[in-house]
Amino acid sequence: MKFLPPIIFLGLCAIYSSFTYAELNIDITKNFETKVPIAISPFGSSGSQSENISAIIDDDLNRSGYFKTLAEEDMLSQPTAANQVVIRNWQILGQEYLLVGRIQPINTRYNIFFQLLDVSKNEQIMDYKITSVKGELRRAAHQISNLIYEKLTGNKGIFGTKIAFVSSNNDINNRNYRLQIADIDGYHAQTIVSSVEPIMSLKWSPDGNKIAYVSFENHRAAVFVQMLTTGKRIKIASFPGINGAPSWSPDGLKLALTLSKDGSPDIYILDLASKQFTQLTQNSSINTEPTWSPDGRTIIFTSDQTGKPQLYKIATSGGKATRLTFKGSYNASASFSPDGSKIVMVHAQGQSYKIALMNLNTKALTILTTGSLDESPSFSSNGTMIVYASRRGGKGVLSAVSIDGRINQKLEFQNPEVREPAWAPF
Amino acid sequence: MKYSSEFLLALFFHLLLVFFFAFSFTLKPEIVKEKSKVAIQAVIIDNEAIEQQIQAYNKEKKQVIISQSLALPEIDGAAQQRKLQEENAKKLVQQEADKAKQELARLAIIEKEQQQLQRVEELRVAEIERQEQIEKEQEALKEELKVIEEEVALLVAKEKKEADRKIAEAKHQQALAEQIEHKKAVEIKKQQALEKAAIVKKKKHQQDLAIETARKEAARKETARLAKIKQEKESKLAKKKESQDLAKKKQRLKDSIAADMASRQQQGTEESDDRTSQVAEAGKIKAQQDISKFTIELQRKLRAIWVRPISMIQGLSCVIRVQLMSNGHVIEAKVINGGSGDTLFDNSALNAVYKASPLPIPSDKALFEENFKSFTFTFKPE
Repeated sequence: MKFLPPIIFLGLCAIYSSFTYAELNIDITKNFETKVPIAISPFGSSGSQSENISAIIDDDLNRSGYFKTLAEEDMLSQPTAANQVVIRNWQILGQEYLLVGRIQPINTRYNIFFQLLDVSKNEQIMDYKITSVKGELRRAAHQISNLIYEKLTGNKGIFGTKIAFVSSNNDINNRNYRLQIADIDGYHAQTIVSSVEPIMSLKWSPDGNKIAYVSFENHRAAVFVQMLTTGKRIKIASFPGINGAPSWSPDGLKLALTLSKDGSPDIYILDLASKQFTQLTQNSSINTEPTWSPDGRTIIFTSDQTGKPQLYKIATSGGKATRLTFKGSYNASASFSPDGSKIVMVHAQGQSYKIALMNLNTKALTILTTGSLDESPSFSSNGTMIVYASRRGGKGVLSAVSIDGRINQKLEFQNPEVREPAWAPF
Repeated sequence: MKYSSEFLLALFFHLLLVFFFAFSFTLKPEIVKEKSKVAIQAVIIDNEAIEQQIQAYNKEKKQVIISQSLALPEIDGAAQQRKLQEENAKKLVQQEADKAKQELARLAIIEKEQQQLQRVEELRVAEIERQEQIEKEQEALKEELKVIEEEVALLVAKEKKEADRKIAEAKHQQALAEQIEHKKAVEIKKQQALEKAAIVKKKKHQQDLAIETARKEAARKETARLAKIKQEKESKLAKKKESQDLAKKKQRLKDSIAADMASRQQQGTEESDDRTSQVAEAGKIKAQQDISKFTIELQRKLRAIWVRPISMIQGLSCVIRVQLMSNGHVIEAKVINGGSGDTLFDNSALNAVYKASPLPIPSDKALFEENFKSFTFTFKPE
């Protein structure tokens, strides 16, 4: 046996010293952000389908605001499976990720296979097979978008989630109001209620099976709860005067609402099982638009105690209300974020009404929108976006804005007028 | 001819003075009055004589009165006679007194006349004196004017002299300056000529030197070439010999190695220890320079490659540890310390590292092993 060569000894010493000395750290900084480049290679198919799945995914990811998809004509090749991918082709195009997939029809069903590749690492990071049926391929595409989104961002995706809203025609002599539900990309719209009198204040039950709303049918305001599965509805409040602004408790067993049956409008809590009303606020000013915190302990509402509408907080068990908003002369229509750390509201800035976000821990107020008559804000189920109603070109439209205000997109619906949006829970 | 303003001023004042003196004699008559006082004093001396006369006279009178009073008791019988006698006596005294009075008046007139005479005489003398005084003063003034004139003339002369001197001085200075200038020019020309000469000389020297150097270099090269040939020959010979020796040595070594392998191993350890510390000391500074150089290169490359994603969370940062092969290829990169909390952000950093592979790293093996085989990147917004 030969003695240890000196070079090996040198190496051992270096390794030893690398443990004893402070490790080298290099700071990499960048001041601008870029949408993440992702390529969605067209899905292959052995049959023909009405839906172009890869186009739906492409559209979803683009609309999220975080990704920038590669145009089909810029692709050097269009692989449909991971084993066909020449990674260099995607690296030179500056892509970070690549989605490949194919659809396999079996009778009335479809098997969808897809893989997501990390182009930089040349590594497959997702490999799925999902099944779908005819007419559900669009939903399947949204499902794939959500899987990719969650894998890459760590947040649950909201592609294909539903939104409830009130649409109306433009015919003044023959007004028609419809409570509708649609996917956020405008597809799969269905009418739940139709009325010649206004419908407003739509609220999804926490399980997503019911919607509470206010209807003015018979020229009187009344609060209804409607089952989405059966279409059955219950009139839960139709006292003289105001019956409005319902809000579900997080457990779905109670509703907070505004009633003026005892004089001025006040907040009441209705136990749905016992049909018992409990008055929560009691003063001569207007108290309305209650919204239940996700932990169920507090209710935030709008009150004009000081002469101007401002937001107040009160324990659901009752007690004294404390004022929350001090900036501006108008803060109303609050809605909680799913995690309960933030609220959105309508905030007046001079003569224009905008959507503002308040961090409940810091009480910092951020104005998110630039419209002049923005209203009815509510959070998306993953807490990243806020849907609100605004007027554009004399028409009522719905838009979604990210919680930092940087991503703002119009939601496309076929109806001439859309108002009163409410984002459905997961 | 020009005069300085000071001179003209002086002249003016002197003339002013002359003017004042010329006017002053009209004020002189006061002196005459003073002289008349002296004349009156002379009269007073005569008064003393008059006083004596008056006193003498009064003495006579007293004696008369005393004699009369002594006779008074005898007036008894012959009162009438006595009265008459008395009246006669009185008349006598009166006559006597009148006489004295007249005499006094006469004396006073004489005295007056005398006084008048004296005054006239004095006036005459004073007039003469005054005339003399005026003449004297006029003489003095004339004298003074003469002096002034002389002074003026002197001054004018002096001024002229000074001006002349100055002109002469200036001329002299100019002449001097020209002389210096000329000298300088000559000097410069000389200098230039000298320099030119020096340059020419130097050039020539350099040429000579270059020729010399070339010659020397050629000689040196030739020598070196010869030496090299010689050395090569020698080394070839030496190598041949060495290899022969080595073969012999190897054989010998082989024989001995088996015998003392254990002890040699010990010795080897000590030797390499020494060598390591020496290398570390010598390369310390260079290592630091190389580290910062490659740090900058790595920053440049990763910064360009990193696609920082849009994030709703402010102030994200994540640390990534990389393991490299000696050619800079990334073996592994992973997020440490839990990441930023934003998956997209963490992934973007990881992807940047993989995309940058192979990373620029120092070729120095030891430096690589020590600093770049495994290290961390911290990705954060600027």
